[in-house]
Amino acid sequence: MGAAEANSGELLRDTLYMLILKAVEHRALHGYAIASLIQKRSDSALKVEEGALYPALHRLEVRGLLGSEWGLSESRRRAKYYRLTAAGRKQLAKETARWKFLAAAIARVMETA
Amino acid sequence: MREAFRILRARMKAFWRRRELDRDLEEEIAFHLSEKQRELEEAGALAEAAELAARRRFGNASLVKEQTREAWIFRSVENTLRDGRYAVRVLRKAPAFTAIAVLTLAFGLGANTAIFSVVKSVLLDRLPYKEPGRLYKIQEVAQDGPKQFPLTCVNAGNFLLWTRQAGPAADLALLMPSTHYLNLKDETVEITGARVSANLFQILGIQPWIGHSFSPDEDVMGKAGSVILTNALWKRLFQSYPGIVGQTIRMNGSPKVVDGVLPESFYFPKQNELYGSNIAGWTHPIEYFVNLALQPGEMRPGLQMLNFAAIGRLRPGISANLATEQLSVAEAQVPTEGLSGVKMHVALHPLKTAIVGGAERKLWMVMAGAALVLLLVCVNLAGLLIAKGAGRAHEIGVRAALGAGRMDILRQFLIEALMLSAAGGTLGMAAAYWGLRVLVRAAPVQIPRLSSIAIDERVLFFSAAITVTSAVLFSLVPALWLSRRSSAGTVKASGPNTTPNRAISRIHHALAAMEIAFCTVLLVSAILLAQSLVRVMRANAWGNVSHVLTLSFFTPHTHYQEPGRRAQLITKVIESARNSPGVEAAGITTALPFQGQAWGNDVDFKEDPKTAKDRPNANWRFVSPDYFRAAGIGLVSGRFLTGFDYGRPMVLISQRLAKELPHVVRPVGAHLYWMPPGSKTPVWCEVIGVTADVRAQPEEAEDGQHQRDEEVPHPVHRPHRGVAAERIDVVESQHGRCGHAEGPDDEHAGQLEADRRPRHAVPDAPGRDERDGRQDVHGGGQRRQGEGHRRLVEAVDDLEHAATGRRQREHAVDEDEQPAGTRHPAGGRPPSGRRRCGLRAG
Repeated sequence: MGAAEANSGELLRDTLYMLILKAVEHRALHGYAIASLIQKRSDSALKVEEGALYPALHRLEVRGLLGSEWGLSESRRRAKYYRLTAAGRKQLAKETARWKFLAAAIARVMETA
Repeated sequence: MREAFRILRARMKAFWRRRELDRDLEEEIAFHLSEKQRELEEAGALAEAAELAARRRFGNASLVKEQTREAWIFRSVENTLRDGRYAVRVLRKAPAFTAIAVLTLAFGLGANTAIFSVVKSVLLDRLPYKEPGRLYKIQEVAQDGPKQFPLTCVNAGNFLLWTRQAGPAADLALLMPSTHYLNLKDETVEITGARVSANLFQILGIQPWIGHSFSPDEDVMGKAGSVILTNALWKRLFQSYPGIVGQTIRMNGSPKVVDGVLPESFYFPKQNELYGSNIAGWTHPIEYFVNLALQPGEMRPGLQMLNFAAIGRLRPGISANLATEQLSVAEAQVPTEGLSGVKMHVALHPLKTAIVGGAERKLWMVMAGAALVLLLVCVNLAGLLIAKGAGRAHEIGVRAALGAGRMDILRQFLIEALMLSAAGGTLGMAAAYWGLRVLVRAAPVQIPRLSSIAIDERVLFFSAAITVTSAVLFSLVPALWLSRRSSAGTVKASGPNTTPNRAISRIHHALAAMEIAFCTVLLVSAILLAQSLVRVMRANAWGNVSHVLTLSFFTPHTHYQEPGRRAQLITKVIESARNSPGVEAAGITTALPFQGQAWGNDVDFKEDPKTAKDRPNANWRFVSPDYFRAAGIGLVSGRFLTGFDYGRPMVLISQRLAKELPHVVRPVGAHLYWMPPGSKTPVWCEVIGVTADVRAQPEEAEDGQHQRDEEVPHPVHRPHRGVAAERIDVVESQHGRCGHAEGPDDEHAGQLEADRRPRHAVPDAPGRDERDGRQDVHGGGQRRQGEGHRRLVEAVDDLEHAATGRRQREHAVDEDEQPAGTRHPAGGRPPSGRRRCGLRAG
């Protein structure tokens, strides 16, 4: 049971990392915008826990998958913008492929059942 | 892999930017909250409600910050640093505990490292020669023969018998300590070394650093034409002159060609360390080697002239027993000079044992003491740490209640123990380093191989490992117990005055018992040692030595061949010393009491003849009449010598030797035989007096093994004239106090310091080694002498002047024969820094 929980936690955490990388794929965004974008794109099906967002962003930054710089937001306040690095882009491609493979497999199982 | 490297780099960068990162994170989260609040306000919420809702949605901001921060830090490093800071606070709050623990550790570690370094360098390290296990010292043994045999070494004639008849077993080298004057351009210095057979270096497996070894044609029967210098002498007196090899230098006024200079690492035992006992005047380091060049008188085999040391290297495949047998076959042919029932054979002792043997037991005793102290230190530390730990139940309870896990608490204790160990260890290393330096410079006891002593890293590591392990182990005992209690949530019970549980008490009691046991052992040893010390001090007491000054000078045979010339100088020295102000009495002797063995011979009384093996062993000292009064040696019966006794066969014997005579024979008036060197006819000497007992050499009690009385040679005193002794000691006794009470005035202080340097010499006049009587008893040490001593030095200086003025030119340095390195500009400092004495322009 414990192991299953840990695995699901890992799965969720890895999924969150993937979603974050995907959110900043085309342009740099600050943390709040990343959370909003994920929620919006998933039609509010996925709500990013704000408490989990920042540790995740910083971990990705330490791993060199995200870069960051400070800029001005639409509300003219200083905000930290995250962008995808080359390593992050490679990682995103890998995650995307893995996700597609997994989703298709799950879908096939679900359809036949 | 790349990612791991990126993480490491990012965290290392972040380590130095922690405050900046904290501020950024703060701002980032504030921005997030304000954006959320704005969104809610746009949806119609009131500002206050929107702010509250935004905060609620975000959750515990502090926790988020903490979790985010973890991405940037090395958790273990951060924790350790935090624990370290906390440990420093804890230790600073208990300065007495910290000081005691650190000093205890430093003491245990320092003492052990220093002493074990000595033990290792002296006893455990191999001698720095090629295959040192095959090197042996060879000694002659006369079974059922005269008693001086265990104390002496080898007769050169007997040695020649071995080399002729027992060749295949071992290669043999012969040597004998020597003293020479080295004539330099500006000064003449006395140097100490050895006469050695040409194959010595080949046997030791040592090649000179520059130049070459002695050639075989310079062997035993060769000419005394070459010298090999030690690196230290070459540096000191020849300023490392590279062209020294092949140059001619003058020693005792005769030319010698320098064959080579030995490597800096070359080790050779001091002059008397190869002999079984302490020989008077042979306590100096060996600084040069000259050819043995045996004189015809030295080559006569027999039981006399046992003045040489022999070293052998066993041939491969030959055991020590086999070599002993083969050499003993040759030794059996030694003429026993009419002594019946004497069986001659040889004994082989491993060279290292022969050199360090005397010190071995003492050093192991000291090592055992140090080990016991280390144990005591560990136990003491354990007790301290446990007591300290047990008193921290409350603090640990609070920390546990605030969320500290068991591992956190253990880690905290561990770090405290490590910090204590580090501080104690650093202090201990410094103590060991300085302690050893002091020991090597001013060893209170004679330790062979002293120069090769250095701190050994492995020893240091071993001692550090023991102390650190004990510190860690015993700090964890209370930590384990307390953390278990805390994890059970018993904060309430752990008030500030909570007593430790029974298990801890039991450990504490056990430790206290162990400590008492170790202390008792140490205390008993200390008391025994103190008793021995008192005994030794009593046994070695020698009158009122605080009023006695001594000065040693050297009169080489090469310059005192004319009969009466030496006696003439001695008379002048005595007169001059006697006429110095404040001097009560002045005399000379060939060896001072306690200085060691001198002229060893067995004695036999005409009135009570004994067989060779039952004869007492005596040490002959040749003295002037007033010597006894000057040295403070009392008269028991009979009379002292007078000036009229010169040339008459008369002796004074010690009280203990007198006891060897049967009661019916009165010692005064009895006759004992004296065998003049090289003669076969004994001279019967009349005993004119019995003196109080004075020992020839100090009683050695450090090893807890006292010499049996019958093994201690009895001093026998004879008038000095007619005896060819090179080294002579002047003794003078003074009125009132001298020395320390009246320190030298400033004007003379510098000169005295220069005078204190031992073994000055001039070609034709005495070399000197000044001391006061106490130093002879207690084995040297640097003491500044007083006014009385200055007068004695000046008196002998005057004599040197008188003695050298006439013959100085004859022994002036021949400039053409001096290597360039020995030349000094006029008025420049002499190379050795020694005071130039006696060699004044006249």
